[in-house]
Amino acid sequence: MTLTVPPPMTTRPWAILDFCAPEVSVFGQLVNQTNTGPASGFFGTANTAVAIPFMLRSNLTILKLGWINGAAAGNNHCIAIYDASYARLVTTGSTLGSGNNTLQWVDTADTALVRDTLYWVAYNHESITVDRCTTYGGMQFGTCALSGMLQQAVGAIALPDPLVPVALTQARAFPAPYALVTAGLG
Amino acid sequence: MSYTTERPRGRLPQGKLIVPGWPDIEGLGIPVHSAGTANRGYYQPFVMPYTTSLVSIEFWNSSGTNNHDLGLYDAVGNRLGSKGSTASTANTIHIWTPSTPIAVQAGKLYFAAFATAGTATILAYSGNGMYNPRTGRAVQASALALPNPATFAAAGADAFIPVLKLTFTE
Repeated sequence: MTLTVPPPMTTRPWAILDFCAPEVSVFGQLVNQTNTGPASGFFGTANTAVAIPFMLRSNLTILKLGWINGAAAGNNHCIAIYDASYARLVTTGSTLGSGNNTLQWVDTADTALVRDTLYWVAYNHESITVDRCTTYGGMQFGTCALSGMLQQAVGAIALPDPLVPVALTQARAFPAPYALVTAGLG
Repeated sequence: MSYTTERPRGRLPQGKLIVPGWPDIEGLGIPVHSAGTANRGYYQPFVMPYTTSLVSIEFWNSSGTNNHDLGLYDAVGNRLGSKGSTASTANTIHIWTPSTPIAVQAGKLYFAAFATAGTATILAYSGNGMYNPRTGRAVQASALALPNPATFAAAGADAFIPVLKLTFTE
């Protein structure tokens, strides 16, 4: 009799990437000193996108992008990943928030990201209504600025290609974005 | 036989480290704009997991135009470099970029240093001196401009913990 033994799994087939984790972004280093984490809140300025730089330790492929809705989900969200030159790599497009206090995924084109490479994750929302988003509270202008955060008055919900960000003009709420990823061996 | 040269794992995102902060300590809370003690030197310890070089140190000045200084020290207080006393402006990131990046050895203790002449508010962790023994941070009175060598004193109950952003060569 011949037995076929499958090879051992060396990595998880998928994982959730938190762009606000301290291993991933300076923003994460700053905000994750809190024990409370993000909470239901509101976006700073409607259709003014915010973006933070991030870097990965392993090669990953993004399968989905998502966010956590606040206690009163609604209005449209948009998340996109940009390269170091602000060229858009992948986006959710404008997507209606649905499901209070739930992590909402948008299936995106599979997009490979390379470790030790600078990328940007941008978030945009079309409303400042309370409890539409889940954001880190108590953000100071200095926290946002030192994190490398930039902004762009898009004037619409869909994140543009390329992003043309400018320096922050004030403290900005940053709703925590996530990615469902498959891990590479890099 | 061939060898593959890989960059070491566990590098910091963008080569940047917030001091004090992850991975040194958790539970400090989100930083706020607050003021420390005039002319007090604040020395924040850190250890890098890989050998690299310091490119810059930054802090956020929220209000006030007091002079400030930024610097790097070794474990026993020898100054490896400093900006020198420099005027501040409000709502601005102030940065010290050594003319030549300063070598930082893996696994060795260093201190990132900050001092300001007045009580301008900067981005800082605030409100709990209980973290001082855990972080190993130190202070020194009358330390503007940052002296060489530094004389480290226990931070006691000083609850003002400046947020410094260090950038290393990648």
